[in-house]
Amino acid sequence: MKENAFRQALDECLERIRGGDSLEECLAAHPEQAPQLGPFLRSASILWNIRPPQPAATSITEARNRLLARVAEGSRGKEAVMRGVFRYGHTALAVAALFVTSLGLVAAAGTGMLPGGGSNTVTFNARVVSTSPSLFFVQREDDQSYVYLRFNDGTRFEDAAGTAIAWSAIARNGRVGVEATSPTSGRIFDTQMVRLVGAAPTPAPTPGPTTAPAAEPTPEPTKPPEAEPTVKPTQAPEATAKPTEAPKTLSDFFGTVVAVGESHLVVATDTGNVLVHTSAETQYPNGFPFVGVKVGVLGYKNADGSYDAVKVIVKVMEFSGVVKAINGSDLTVFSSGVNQTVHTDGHTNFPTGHPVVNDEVFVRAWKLGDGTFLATDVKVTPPAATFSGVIVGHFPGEFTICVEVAGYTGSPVGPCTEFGAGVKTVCYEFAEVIGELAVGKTVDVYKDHVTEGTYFAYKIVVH
Amino acid sequence: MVARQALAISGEQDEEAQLVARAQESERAAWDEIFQRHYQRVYVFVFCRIGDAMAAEDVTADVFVEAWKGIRRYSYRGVPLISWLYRIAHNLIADFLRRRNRAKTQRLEDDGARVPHTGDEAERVALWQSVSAAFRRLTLEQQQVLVSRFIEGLTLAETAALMGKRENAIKALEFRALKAVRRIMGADWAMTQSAGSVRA
Repeated sequence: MKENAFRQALDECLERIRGGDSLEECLAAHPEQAPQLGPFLRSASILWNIRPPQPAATSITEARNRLLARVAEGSRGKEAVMRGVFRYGHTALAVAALFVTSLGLVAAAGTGMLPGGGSNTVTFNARVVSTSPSLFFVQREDDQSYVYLRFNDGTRFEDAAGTAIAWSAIARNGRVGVEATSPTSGRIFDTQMVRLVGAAPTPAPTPGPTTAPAAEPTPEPTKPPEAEPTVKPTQAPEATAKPTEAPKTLSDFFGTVVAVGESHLVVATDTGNVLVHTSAETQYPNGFPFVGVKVGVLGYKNADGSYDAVKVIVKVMEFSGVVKAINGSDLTVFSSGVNQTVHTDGHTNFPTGHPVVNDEVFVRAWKLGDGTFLATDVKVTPPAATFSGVIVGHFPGEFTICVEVAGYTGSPVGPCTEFGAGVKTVCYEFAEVIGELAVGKTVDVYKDHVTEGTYFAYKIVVH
Repeated sequence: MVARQALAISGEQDEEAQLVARAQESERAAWDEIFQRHYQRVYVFVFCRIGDAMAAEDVTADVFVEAWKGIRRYSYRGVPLISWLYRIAHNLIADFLRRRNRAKTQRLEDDGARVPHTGDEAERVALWQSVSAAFRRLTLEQQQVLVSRFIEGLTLAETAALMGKRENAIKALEFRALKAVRRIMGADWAMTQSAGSVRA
């Protein structure tokens, strides 16, 4: 019980020093433990004696004003944003996002010719809050320029009130745009569609209604700044009406979603992009797909190479592993001999708290096209109990229980010696004890360390 | 006695639950109250990790804005609100440190371009940098315990209530935290001690 005595002395000294005694007085009162106590108490003493500088009064005031302004804006801003979106949804989001690229897609428009036509008055502001989009200009023949904004799936937007704007890239009829969800109402709004730079011949028209304007004054850039993936079917538009007579075959394939539309997906596969038509009957057993996620598609293949989806299965993985590193919102989880990169975001659930390095975790995540994961749930799994057994002796005054452990042949120490072989001496003074300790009860013991034959527990669960 | 304490805790929880509910409704007064109650504590926590007053002020301000953004998703379950704020701070600090490391810029304090430090100040800055580095290697709970027990001077019972844990668990956390700090800081602090005691 040497460790026990040491920790009692430490506690006593900490309280004494807190009460005004000097470190030396305390060490003198515990000469036997002084060599061990000294470094602990000096560490504690330094922590007591240093004081952080006070924050500047102006900083406090600024921080408070900033917070309260956000709170005030939030209440007012929500209404304004809602009105803005309802009334100006198309123009607004086009302005907010300018022209979108996703996973390498590049879109463009001429300066002063915002989609939607008419007034270019900004009615709705959004700001980019992560990743750095690149802005560049391409010279036109008439001495004007096209302006391009390129960003990717990591780009996040928020509105004036600081609420995240969910968005996804969509492709329709050879054009790309953004589809954004109102942060307050949850309604979905399309932007105007912008023609792909350097787009290949127009792909098959997507069945179903479209919210894109019929005529869009999208200028043609003089030179495409970058090649972009195109939707696979390349037949001329007039030849792409779905054949009604040709037999369809049900088949499946896997790939990564590169665009999500109202009634279609574009899925990148090893052999190119595949257009997948979706409908109200399409099933999504693992939730709706989003750009970047790996999916399996089961559907009828059309003559033009596109698919009518029966089922789209977002690839969800579950695995357990040990957290090896934490880099911001990304975890490196060692699982089945491999380090997996697990991204987390504001939607990730941490039901048992955030993990730290070396925690064992259970991860449920979407698998992304780049082989990494976006977690929906990360659960820290408690380590297995060090051992379980039956309490055969209890010495409350010494915070000790004697636990008979099946298969154990060693001998106990201290007060448990009398119980003979097969019993372990467990000190619970610093343990979290769940349940009432009593002779005859079964316990799970989580060991902190062992000193001179005594198991010092950090947790004991009584059954 | 125990019953009275439990009642007191229950009363505090009710009050905090109501405060959270009001904050979720974007009530200005509720946010003002949250700010007034917790600013200093969050600032100290952040400063202990960063060791830079100006940066700590910025990060602390961000903590409250992030709290405001996330309050609708927050569900009060009896664990003090400060624990949630600490967790937000913990994440923001990680972001801040990552950005700082990536930027590889030299802080003004480091090259002495700000205000020249007097001997005591220089010693204190150096000590805080060592303390911050040590804190960053502790778990979130260990950091909370050290800040509460040693920097803020709370009692075991107060710390336990603050963290929603038992006193025994706090004792164990405190012991392990001190042990870790002693191991991490051992050499530096031995030198500091030999040079005389340091007071801020």
